Amino acid sequence: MKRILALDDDPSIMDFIGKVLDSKGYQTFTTTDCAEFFTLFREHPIDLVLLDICMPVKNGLEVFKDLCGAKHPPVLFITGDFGAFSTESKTAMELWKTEFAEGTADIIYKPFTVATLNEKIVSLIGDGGDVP
Amino acid sequence: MNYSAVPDMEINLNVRKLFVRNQIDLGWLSHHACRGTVYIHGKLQRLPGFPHPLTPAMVETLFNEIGDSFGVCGLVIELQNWQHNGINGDWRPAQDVDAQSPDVGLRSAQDALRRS
Repeated sequence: MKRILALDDDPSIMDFIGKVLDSKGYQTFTTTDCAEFFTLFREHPIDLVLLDICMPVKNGLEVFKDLCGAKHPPVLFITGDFGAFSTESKTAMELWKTEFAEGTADIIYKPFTVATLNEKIVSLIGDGGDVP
Repeated sequence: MNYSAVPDMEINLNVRKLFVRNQIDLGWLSHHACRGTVYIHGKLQRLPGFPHPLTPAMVETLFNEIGDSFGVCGLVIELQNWQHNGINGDWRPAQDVDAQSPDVGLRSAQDALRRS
């Protein structure tokens, strides 16, 4: 079973994503806490990371940069900020020229449909397989 | 059935790389490959702040590149902001296209297959 780890400071989004992805056959770990995110990341083999960008303590781009030191799974960024990947953002463009250029990162804008979320995930890691 | 021998995941990866190389904002666009046919939908636009907007020629080149990618045997494109004119074959921003034209907006897998 493919495992997805999601970090968003909004518990309702995490609850929604967890239920949707579990129903698609993925094993989903969700958290609103950055420290817990890294603990879960270390403790479980993760196939895909979902990262909210706008978070109060550490934003998703910074969390991603922390992951980039080691081999990491594909990442799907979730954001309601349509300017998050502006060419004027140095951090975003650094990631664009490296991680995105490898084809292993993607973006989804809020609000999104279940169908779009599912398509993005299937495109990155394949489907969840048989639903138990 | 003449399905592509290249795994769909690999095709997805290559399509994403092409969008990134062309500074396309992935947040507005979705794509997936199924047995070698690539389905693309949403809005095709550049990253915010990128100084050069897409032109019809760039869109045509981009989709030709995707269609010619290894393992791609068909292309189905449905965009909200670009439309394909089935009569003269060019791409145009959606607001410029005659809404009466019945053969506009969807570029079929068969079209891509004919080209290959």
